[in-house]
Amino acid sequence: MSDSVVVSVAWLQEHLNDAKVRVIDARVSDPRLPMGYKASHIPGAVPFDLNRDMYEMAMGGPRMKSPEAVANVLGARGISNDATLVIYDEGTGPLSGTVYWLLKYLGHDDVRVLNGGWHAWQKANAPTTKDVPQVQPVSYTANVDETQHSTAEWIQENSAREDILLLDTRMDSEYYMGHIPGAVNLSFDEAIDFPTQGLKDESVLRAQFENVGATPDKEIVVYCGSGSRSAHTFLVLKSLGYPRVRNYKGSMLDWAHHRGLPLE
Amino acid sequence: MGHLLLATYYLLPTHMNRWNPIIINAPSDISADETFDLKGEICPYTFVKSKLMLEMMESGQILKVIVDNDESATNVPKSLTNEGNTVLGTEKINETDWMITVRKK
Repeated sequence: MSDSVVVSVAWLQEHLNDAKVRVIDARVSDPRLPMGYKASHIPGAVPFDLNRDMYEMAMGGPRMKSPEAVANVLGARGISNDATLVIYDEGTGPLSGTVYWLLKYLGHDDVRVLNGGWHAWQKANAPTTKDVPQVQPVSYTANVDETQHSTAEWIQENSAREDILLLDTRMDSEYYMGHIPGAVNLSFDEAIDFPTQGLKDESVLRAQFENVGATPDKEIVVYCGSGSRSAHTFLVLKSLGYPRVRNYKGSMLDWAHHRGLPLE
Repeated sequence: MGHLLLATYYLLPTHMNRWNPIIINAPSDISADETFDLKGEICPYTFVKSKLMLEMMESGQILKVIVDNDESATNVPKSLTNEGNTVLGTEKINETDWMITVRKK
């Protein structure tokens, strides 16, 4: 089996019926839009809605559910710890990136993302269905891997290290209005090839990252407004084999709004 | 849940808000073919849903998107522009909401 993080439509078609492969549909679910999981999906896929499955409301605003609560959601969808998970959204976008990061944070070993997502799947005339798979609930255990995650405290304690790079993945206009001191900017969508909705070629991606000093020898902390666009960049860096990448899930919402920490 | 998610924005100290969308007034005589209320939605849903709504529309049609946070008022216009559409305006329409007017490519 391929060891690529980002897999092609052809790869998924070949492995769709493998016993260990489970497909996760992370696309938008909105009754005003006649698309999404209920309308049609990849055969065997189970839905994962970030609003419902990843977040919960708490005093002072939404927060990420506990790892155990997310693990219960995954288990109820029939996802086991040893499954090969393939995530897709509309393209290769921040929804896939966020679910990818969440699963790596929960310690899931084998997580892939479909390059080009639903757009590429449809364009290839690959099979689709409205049938919801009958799943057997299983027990899923969260083995939280804090090396995939950053907090404000972690940044404050480590940002002076020479091997740390803070990467702001928001639009440049957002970056110039104020960013975490020392951060460089590369908007998350610079990685996307808009015509195909997939990722750009590996050589292009590597050059883009290296151009802002994001080299594989560094520990890279990505952030954005609320940790989803940066999760996409987390995915891209992991797909390129960068060994040390952390997503600051709280991002500017936590750094500037909740904590009032300094910006430059 | 979406509405709950964004409620947090306005529970936060506003003096800490450093996200300031660029205001461009859309021509006043432009009427919308579709209006999409995305109040209560956070990034990335705001720009992903805006894009999906545009995909259902015809080339040249006008979409007005309403969002209620500065982050979305900044990145939705940029994302839609990157997709080849023409953003005609980003306006603050009341204390909490922004309206983004875009013509589909």
